[in-house]
Amino acid sequence: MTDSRSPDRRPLLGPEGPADPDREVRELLRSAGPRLEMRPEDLDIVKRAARGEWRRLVDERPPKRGWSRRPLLAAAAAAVAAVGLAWWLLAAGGPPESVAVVEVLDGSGALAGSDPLELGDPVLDGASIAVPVGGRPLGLRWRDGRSVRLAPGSRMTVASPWRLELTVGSLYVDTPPSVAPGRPFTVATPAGLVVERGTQFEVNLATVGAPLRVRVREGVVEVDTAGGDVAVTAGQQWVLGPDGEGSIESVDPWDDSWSWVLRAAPTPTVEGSDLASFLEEECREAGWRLVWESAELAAEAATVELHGSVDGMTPDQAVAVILAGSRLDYRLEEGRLFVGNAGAGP
Amino acid sequence: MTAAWRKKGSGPRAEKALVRALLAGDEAAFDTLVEEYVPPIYRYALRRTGDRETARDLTQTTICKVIAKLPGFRGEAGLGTWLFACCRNEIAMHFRRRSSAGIEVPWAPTEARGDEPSGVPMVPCSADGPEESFLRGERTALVHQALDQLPGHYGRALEWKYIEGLPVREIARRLELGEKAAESLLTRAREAFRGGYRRLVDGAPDGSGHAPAAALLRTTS
Repeated sequence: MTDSRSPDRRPLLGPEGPADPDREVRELLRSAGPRLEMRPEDLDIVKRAARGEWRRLVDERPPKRGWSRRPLLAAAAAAVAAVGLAWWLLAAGGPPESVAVVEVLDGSGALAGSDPLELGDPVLDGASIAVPVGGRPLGLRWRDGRSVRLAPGSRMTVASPWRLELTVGSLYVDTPPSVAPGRPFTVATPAGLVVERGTQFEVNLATVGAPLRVRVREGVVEVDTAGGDVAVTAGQQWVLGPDGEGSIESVDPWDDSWSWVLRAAPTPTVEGSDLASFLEEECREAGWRLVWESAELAAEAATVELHGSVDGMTPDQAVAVILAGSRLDYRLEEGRLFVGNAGAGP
Repeated sequence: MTAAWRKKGSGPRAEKALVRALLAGDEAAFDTLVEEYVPPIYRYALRRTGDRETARDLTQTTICKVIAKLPGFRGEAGLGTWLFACCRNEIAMHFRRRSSAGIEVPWAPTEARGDEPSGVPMVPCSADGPEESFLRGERTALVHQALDQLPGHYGRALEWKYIEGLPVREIARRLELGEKAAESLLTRAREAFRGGYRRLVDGAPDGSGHAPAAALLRTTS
């Protein structure tokens, strides 16, 4: 390409500027036409991700204090506010605290009291949350990192940051190992208390007054009822019978009965994750056990950095997509994900 | 949550106010961030990659990374400049990954194949030869890029006036301004567009890191 083409590229705005700026700009814009609009569904996807990041940022930031910059103003404001605040605290027992944010909402129709919840909304201490029967599961991200999910047809109250009261429906709690041990997290039902001990579990009351059912995928929970205490461990289901006695059965942590939980699961992070961590996270989410062909392969997978997104995919779809881009084979059998080198027959 | 923040004007002061409002958790500020900055970043990524899905993913990564770093925003560079620079890095990483994976990287992907569902529509066919068609496509890309680098309401006002042919009264109504203020805004927008477009054509730094137009031309010689 030679310089002789330059005038062709800027026929309307020469170095000296146009004689009629209005006409020149109009002709340039008309010749180019309107800019491409971003598809609403694409904008929605980006906005949801951005909102999640933004809410995390806002929730993790300490409240701003202006003492050092404007001490007099702050002192005056505090003095004025103190009278009202003291009265308010006495009357209401303190301002409600945000204990979680809405992380997965897609068509849930969930309500906090009578207000529709939106993605990224804070969930306040004391909130009453309901998901209508025809809705989709709701996913909440607790401030300490645990995931709480509510099935359609469920209703619960946030009695405190460490205690939920389930009135009806199914509630699932996933406390990842990364959550620092602290105060026990408790789900209260009319039939008794379920106290977690670092785990994934579901508490179910099919209808108001129905027998309590507790299923555990990982770790241990304690169930405390009028009939006594019982520890329910991974792979077990405990059901309270009409006689007030509980019974324990085994349960598969990966079968279809957990599908509602997956629908309220947060999108796993792919970008920047390593392959081993990604597979471990997906297996944990789906209730599978990850089996590597060899320890060397597992170690190698930990060095493979992933890029892209599996937004909207179920764990099996996500695993298929991610492993399709590698030289690895896999098969899923009886809740176990076998991963090995292609052609090695994992 | 009620909107405690309302966008006023443009420029560094308005951007700092926007960031302050975002850090304070203001919903209206978040909506403004998305509405004002996401579409231009997306179009920038789309022009460089030619694929909607890829452009969306790169836009998402860019906006999330910038949000995470908002507490460090000091306003030395504009928020838009920061976003474009971040997006440019993401695009470069994207092509590096593709290149290292043995996937052919298209040269200067300012246009995508129109037969791809996710691709950018091509400039309509005409009786022009390939050279004219290329230059016309280049000019279109530069005009759109210059518009995207303006404050959002400047770009919209210019499109309303010169592409849709709306009267100033209607533009004023849409911008919630008086007619005189709208005329003044259009004048400023026009000047800003002319300056931005000329910088792109002359190959001066555009703040976005986009390859200068002259450099694009030189790569074909």
